[in-house]
Amino acid sequence: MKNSIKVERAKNNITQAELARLVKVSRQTINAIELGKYVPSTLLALRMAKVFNASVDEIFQLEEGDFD
Amino acid sequence: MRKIKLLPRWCRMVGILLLLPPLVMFTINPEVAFGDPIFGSPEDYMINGTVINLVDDSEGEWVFFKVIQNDLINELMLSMMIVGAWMIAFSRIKGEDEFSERLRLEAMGAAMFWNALILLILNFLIYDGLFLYVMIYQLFSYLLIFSLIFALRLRKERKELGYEE
Repeated sequence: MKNSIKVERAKNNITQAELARLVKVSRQTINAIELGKYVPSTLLALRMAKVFNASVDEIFQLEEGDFD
Repeated sequence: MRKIKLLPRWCRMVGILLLLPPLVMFTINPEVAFGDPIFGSPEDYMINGTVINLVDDSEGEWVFFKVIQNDLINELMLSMMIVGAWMIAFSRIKGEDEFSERLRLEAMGAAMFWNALILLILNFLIYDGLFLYVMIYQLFSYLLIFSLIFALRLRKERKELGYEE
């Protein structure tokens, strides 16, 4: 699964630390999600979408092979 | 969302303080587990108490709920080791969140595997009465292996994810 959190952060001028504070996780967790090392829970994905005022599928997209 | 129930952060330090003394003594002299002290004679350290023995077979047949006199020092030490290891394993970390919860669960799975593998290997390397010490160690080794794997994974991830890109 790929995501556009980094792009959304840049658009909204938000640092990882600020996003982490807003969605109530650690900054390392935000970094892990951005790097694709960790797939967040639905709840966290929804919280992030709310912060960016976007829908979840605008931020997270399935990649080829995600159905395998 | 349901989260894993964990102990407060300060419990980790209490756990270390509880675990270390009996663990060091057990490592120096495994007989400690049966009430033999490292220094002096067992009589110097006895804590005699009246306890309920769930199943007693000392007279050749099983007797349930028998009241007996027992030296409680080894029960106390084993309790300190188990409770200490448990407190270390299940205390919150700084910045506990769903990512650390996943690391915790992965570390638990890995600890189950390694603990079972170590037991399997020792099963073919240690025989007779000495194997009893392996069994005693197994009472808390799972928690220790879990804590070690979790700490290492957490350290690795924090190092790798520490820098904002």
